[in-house]
Amino acid sequence: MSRILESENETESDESSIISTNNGTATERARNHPELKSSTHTVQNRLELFSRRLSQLGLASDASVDQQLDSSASSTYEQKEVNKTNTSTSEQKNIATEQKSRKEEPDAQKIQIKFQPIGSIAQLKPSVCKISMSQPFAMVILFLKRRLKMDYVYCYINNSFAPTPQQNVGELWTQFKVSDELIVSYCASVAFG
Amino acid sequence: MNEIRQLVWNGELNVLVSIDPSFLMKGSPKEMAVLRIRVPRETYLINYMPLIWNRIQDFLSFDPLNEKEKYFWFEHNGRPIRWNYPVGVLFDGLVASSATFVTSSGIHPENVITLFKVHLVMGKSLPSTVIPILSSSNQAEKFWFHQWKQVCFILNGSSKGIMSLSVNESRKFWRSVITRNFHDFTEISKKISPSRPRHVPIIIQTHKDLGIEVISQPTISMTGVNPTLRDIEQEVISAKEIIDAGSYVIVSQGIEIPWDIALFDLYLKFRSFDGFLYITLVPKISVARTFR
Repeated sequence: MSRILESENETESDESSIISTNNGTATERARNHPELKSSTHTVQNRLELFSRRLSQLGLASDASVDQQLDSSASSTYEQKEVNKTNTSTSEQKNIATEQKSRKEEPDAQKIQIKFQPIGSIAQLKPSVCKISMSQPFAMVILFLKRRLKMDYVYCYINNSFAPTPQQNVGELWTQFKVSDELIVSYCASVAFG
Repeated sequence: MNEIRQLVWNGELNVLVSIDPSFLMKGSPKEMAVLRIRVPRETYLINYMPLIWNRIQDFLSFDPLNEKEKYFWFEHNGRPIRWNYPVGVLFDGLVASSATFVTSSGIHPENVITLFKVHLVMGKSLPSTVIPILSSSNQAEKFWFHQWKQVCFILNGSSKGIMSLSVNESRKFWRSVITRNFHDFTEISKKISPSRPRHVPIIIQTHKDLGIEVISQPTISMTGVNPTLRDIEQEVISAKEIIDAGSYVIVSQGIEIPWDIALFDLYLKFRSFDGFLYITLVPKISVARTFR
């Protein structure tokens, strides 16, 4: 089952989980493309934050797979590695084109959600996750409920309103994003009536 | 403009609510399972739950207000209904003849009686697209208020407009919906609506005859321009698989809307009681079929 929500430095590899990570991606990209580090302060700061977190976890050396890709994309990646030795260059190009077109599909694009706790509820670590644009907001609520092991979680966008569970996450992000992140505050009780 | 707003506000529908026999004790009179009500287009179905429970309370086989293991929802022709949309919007999306009043010249609207048939059912689990109906009396009010906060955010870039209403004004606002007080509703909704909005809160749904259920909420920017519906055609028809723009009509509040109408003008006249402008894409074939 492909993963739906991705957090930034989670390390578990449960395929059925709706969470996955992109920590390895950032480190890998930074390693392969040093020019990215100097592109903006934000990117640099985030990379530093990631490497600090990784060094705390002792996982920096393991971060080699682009975990932003879902499981099917990962299998394509592995397949591509094998093809390097077994198949012709034209076939590799076809796979790359297919991968690219898949990434360019709007519904397959992923957006970032920043989770902010309200009150005494536990803080989510990491606080930033990725989710496919085509998912309903109910998926975000479900993720929070599972992560926090709670029966009820009250979610708000931009500390303001509660969207309906049926609303599309991609449309919410487009309308209410702040610095390319959808800010979702969560609470164990009603916070904004 | 106020005249059009008033006509939209006064729009009503005949709704036939049939209650699933599983709600009632064996031997209950059949007529108790049917309720005929005239409902404003601008309200939620769940506002009528107290009326429904009250009607059948003597014949209920259980206490719905204290029931923890069963869920209730409305259906139309076996399809679950999302109560969180105004009744008129549900009607426009589900009933075939909604667009025919203005498109068929030989028919007088006053001679057409339309009926919106809904069925109240229950089960141990809820359909995935439906928000549970709770026993609390203010569920609709709370939901509606959050809709308005979202609308305020889309229009102004923040929810300050609605959050700065006094407690009395907030209560008056909801009460105006329940008591059908157009004057109070207009007075308070004006405080939230800017003269120059950033974006227009719009929700687009497809009619059931299109075979696909798509509800989208595109971002329509209003900075520096006042687009017509034609200008935002791409956003309107980007509702997934719908490709041929000439094969459907646009309906809002049960009325076919011309393509060249200015969007913000349309919004101010036809917006719903939750602040959103609802547009329904109705295939022309279903309009023609009704009067064949």
